[in-house]
Amino acid sequence: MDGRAESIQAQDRGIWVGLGRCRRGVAAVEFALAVTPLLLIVFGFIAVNLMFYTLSVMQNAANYASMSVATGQINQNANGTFSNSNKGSTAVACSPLPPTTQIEYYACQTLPTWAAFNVTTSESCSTTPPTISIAISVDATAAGILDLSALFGSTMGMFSGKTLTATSVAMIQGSCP
Amino acid sequence: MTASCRRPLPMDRADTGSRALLCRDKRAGMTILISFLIPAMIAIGLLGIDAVRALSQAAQINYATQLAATAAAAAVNTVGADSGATVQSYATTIAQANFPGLTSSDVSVVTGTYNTSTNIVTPPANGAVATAVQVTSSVTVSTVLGGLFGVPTLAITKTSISSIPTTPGGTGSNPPVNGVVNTNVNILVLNDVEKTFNSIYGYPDLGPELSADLAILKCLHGNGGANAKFGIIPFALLPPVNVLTKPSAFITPLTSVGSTFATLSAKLATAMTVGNVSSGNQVVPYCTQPFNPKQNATPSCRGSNVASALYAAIQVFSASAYQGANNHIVIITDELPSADPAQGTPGGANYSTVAFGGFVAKTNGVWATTATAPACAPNSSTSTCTNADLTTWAEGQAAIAGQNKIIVSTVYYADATVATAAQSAADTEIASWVQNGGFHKMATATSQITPTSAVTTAASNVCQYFGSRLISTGS
Repeated sequence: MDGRAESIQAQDRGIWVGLGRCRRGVAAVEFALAVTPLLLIVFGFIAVNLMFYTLSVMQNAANYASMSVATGQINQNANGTFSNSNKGSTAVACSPLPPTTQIEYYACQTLPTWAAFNVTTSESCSTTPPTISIAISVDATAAGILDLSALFGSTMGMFSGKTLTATSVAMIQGSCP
Repeated sequence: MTASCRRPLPMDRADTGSRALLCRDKRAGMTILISFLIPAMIAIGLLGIDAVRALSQAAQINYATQLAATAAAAAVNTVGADSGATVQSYATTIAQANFPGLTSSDVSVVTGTYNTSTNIVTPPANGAVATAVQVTSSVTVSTVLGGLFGVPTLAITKTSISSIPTTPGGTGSNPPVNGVVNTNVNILVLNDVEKTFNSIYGYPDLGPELSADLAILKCLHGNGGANAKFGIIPFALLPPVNVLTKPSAFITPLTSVGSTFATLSAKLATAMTVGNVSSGNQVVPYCTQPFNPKQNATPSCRGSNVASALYAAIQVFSASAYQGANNHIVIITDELPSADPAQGTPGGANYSTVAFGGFVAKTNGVWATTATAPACAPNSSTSTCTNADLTTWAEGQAAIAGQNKIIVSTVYYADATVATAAQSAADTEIASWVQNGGFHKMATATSQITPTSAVTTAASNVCQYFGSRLISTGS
């Protein structure tokens, strides 16, 4: 190794040593490293809260629909008038809104617009008391909107493949033969 | 000092050893700071979630309690306020369905009267009718991080009150939407069959009266539930003495609407048509003239003693099957109680004569089948009862019905020939028989001869008593 090469090597070592000894921009580098999980946590909280908010709205809507049945204002679902033979409806989409005579309409009334909701009813006229169960469901990822964890893969998201469901049960008033 | 990235300061010379080095080393300061901050942020976030979760559970318990209250009110209408276990069962079932964490002991039910000032329900005074149901749900929920701050659990209590309607839910001819009703309502209609209501005397009023019966029947059939019962008790001067022992002799005893609706509605519809012609009395054995209780159970076509029919209805509802049930009496009459002097002693009716089959009056308007001393007190002699006697009896029997928690409603079918002042007096008296929030209507003279008269409209108002609705919620 000649003197020139040794000089270059020494110079390289000097750069790294100098970089290692340099304190400038340390905070920026460390913040850049720390902010990534920090943002994931922040947006994760936002997503979780949105999901809870959506679930809360869904629960309120289901309860509102239940109260409509409990007070006898509505006695029909998508399958017709409540009865023993009408065992409930399959999932009814909230968009477009169902007819106003059906309980699904009232369950869809106050839901947010950023996701596609479905309403499923199930009545039981032979039980004491006769009851109807109203369930509103939505894809959890759509409800959370900002599911950043899904960035790590479609199957890695917190909400991926999961469904949020809000259920309310009311006593059916009036005729339920 | 080794591995220092800066020039040693004079003060550093005194600091030697690893602790001193750690204190002086400023590298990775932000990382350490963040490492402390992140757990704190996560803890605060979890606490927030904890609080939201508790609030969310409180809201859901509130809804569960509301729905339980409406179910309990419906249960009172269905099985009666006295069946506390069933009412509790309805409330608990619905509450648990909406909040599975609730147990039966978490749900308490009070059936009674609603105090608008205190916003609570208290058990009704003896003899009074319950008007509301109060359901209270109490549950303790666990917190996630609250335990670290001394709050491992949160006690949540929610109360809701639902009315048991005893006043019309709608107005006039606007009954509630089909379905705003409860189940198992029992109605006995007391039909005045005195001669002015009977076609055998050429009066055209029987049809409208039967149309009112039919309106009530249809209302009950459509809204009263599968086990609703309907019956008609006719009355004139003498009582329907065999209503208990020979109910089949009447238009209909108190029977299930679900099983008899088709037959009964057809019978009433036919009677409405045929009853307005001279042969009407042959189609419907409403009354006979002269009265002979030993051959049939129909009352005389003369006079009007509503007390006797009220007594009969009270006896029907006194059966154990109807205790605590939603029992209604609807009286349809076209006049104040009448002793019909033409039938007996001038100035009054002598119930001790054989003309009345040996039936004698008691002071409560009820007739004994044995020859006891008749008593028309307090208004006249013991053997000759006056209109005032019968009116007093009617008031007394109506009060007894009220004490038995029976809702009494009245329809005054004003006779077109009666002067306005007399109509007003009769209207006031008949309205006073109403019990427990029942309704009173006076059908106008001009409308009394049409089947779609105010009688029908008034009678259909009975539908408005069946609904329950939430009147107070959350606390």
